[in-house]
Amino acid sequence: MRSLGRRALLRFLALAPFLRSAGLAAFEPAPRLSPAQRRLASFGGRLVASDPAAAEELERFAVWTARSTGADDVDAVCATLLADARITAELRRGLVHRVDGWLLARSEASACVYVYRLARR
Amino acid sequence: MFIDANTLEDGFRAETDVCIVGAGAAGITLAVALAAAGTDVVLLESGGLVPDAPTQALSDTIDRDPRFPFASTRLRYFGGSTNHWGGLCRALDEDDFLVRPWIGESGWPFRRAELVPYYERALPMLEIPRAFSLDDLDRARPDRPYLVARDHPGFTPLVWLQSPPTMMGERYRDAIAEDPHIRCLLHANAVEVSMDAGGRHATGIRMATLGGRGASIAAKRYVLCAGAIENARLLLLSDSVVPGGIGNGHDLVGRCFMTHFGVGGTLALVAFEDGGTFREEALIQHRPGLSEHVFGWTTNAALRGRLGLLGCSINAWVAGTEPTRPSVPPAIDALLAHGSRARIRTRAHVLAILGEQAPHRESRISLSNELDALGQRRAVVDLRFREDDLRSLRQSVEAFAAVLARRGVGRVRLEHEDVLESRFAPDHHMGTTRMAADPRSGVTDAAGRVHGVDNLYVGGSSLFPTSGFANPTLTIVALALRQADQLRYSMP
Repeated sequence: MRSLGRRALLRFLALAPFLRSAGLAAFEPAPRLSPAQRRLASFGGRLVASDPAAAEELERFAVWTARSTGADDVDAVCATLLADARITAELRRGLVHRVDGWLLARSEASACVYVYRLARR
Repeated sequence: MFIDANTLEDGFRAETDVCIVGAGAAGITLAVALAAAGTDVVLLESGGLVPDAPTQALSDTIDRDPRFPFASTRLRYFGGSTNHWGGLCRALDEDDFLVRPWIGESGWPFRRAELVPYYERALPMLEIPRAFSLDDLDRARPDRPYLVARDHPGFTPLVWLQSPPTMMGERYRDAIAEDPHIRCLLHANAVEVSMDAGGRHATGIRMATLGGRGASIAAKRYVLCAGAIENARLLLLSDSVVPGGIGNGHDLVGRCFMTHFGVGGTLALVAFEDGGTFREEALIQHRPGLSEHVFGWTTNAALRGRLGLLGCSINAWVAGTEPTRPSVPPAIDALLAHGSRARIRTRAHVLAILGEQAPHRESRISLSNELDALGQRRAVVDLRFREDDLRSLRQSVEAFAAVLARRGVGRVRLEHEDVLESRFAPDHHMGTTRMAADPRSGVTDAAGRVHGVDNLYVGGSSLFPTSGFANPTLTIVALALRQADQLRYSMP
């Protein structure tokens, strides 16, 4: 602190909100994941490793779903993606994704990738 | 009685009412049923009472696709392939016999009702204690729900009948030895069906032993029961009078060769806190005559029709009896425990998913120029699938997985995305002398008689026009019993 100087520190603190809004994730605290979310993250990791392009698509889908539904934290995003009605509709329409051979609805696979990315922060 | 053909004089000739080639499920059933009605039978078996390598090597094939090795799928000695079968039995479904517009060349030349009385008689032949009705499911553990509802529009609970399994050679050996109407020639290899000059009447079966003896059998009727590969091979080899082989006027002998194909998987299933199971699984553990190891589901006719699917069975091993112990990944556990279902635990079952293959003419048995120890041309096996076969299996499994996921009761994993990479054993050989009313569509008629030949018949699964998803042995035995009745009534 002494080396930074009082004025410099105040300047840095003033800049922090702008840096965060600019998307510099290093400044965001890692969200606390529940045990169930951490288990989902293990599948997300497999997906990212085996099919990065599909994983990227699924992550975009999660972010888009979160924005369009107003879900603003990890619990809300997961609750939205894993809602029974959504899963049922996707399964009926054949919107499925294979993770390590397991057949998941697209939103389930999307939730797995989403929580994996958060856990990796 | 049993006679070792190696002890016969070279050039031996015998006469009988019916000469049967092959002592497997079809041949033994036919011989026993005919003899019981007083018909004299000569039963020719290539092998002895125990296996031997030189005889087994006569079955070696040239396999076009190395992914499907056929060498270990047949056994060439008394009892045939019942010496190594698993005993799972099930009758074909009603719609398996019908023309299904989405499957080319589908449809049997008779309805299921024709075969039902013979299915009933086939059960004791295979030592299955009693017939079974799916209604018994409703009486089993009424405190448990079905995993898939009985009235579900897409899937039906599936129970498998269980033969001990009956090894036909062991089970009927004494009866055949003591029966005055049966002469079973061991080490007797049929090498040609002899024909009259017009090629419309069989006059004998020419046979040879590996010991160098030759003999022939003259009969009123001849029935080839040597399996789908060897039946076709023998007809094709018998070309000294009929160019191209007997019954092959429309180039159909050996074509439409089919097997059941499958892929492994895992079923993650919810289980009750007290260790109880769903009704389907609870049932099979307490009913005699049912498999103790496998329970499952099948796509029903309505779903198959709506999606244009072939038959498919999805079979789960009862936990604790499976060959390997799969586990439930944490993520699947989390998905199954999501929301209000947190009170349950999950457990994993090994899945065996088996599909019907549609009849395709390019999937076939033909002859190579390579010769076996008897100087006979070996069979070439060119088993081929079409994309629709594979699509059907994948779509059936995905639909099933969706049903379980929607109910929140289970999840499904497929071991291989590409089904053909799963290296399944092509054990069930069907087609190649298929039945059809029209000779342009099949080698044999509804009685299994070769079109255009008045006294030559074929028995066994080579008659199947389509295969359904069910294991073939029960249908093979039922068809043989039906054929025995027809032969007796048609005997001059």
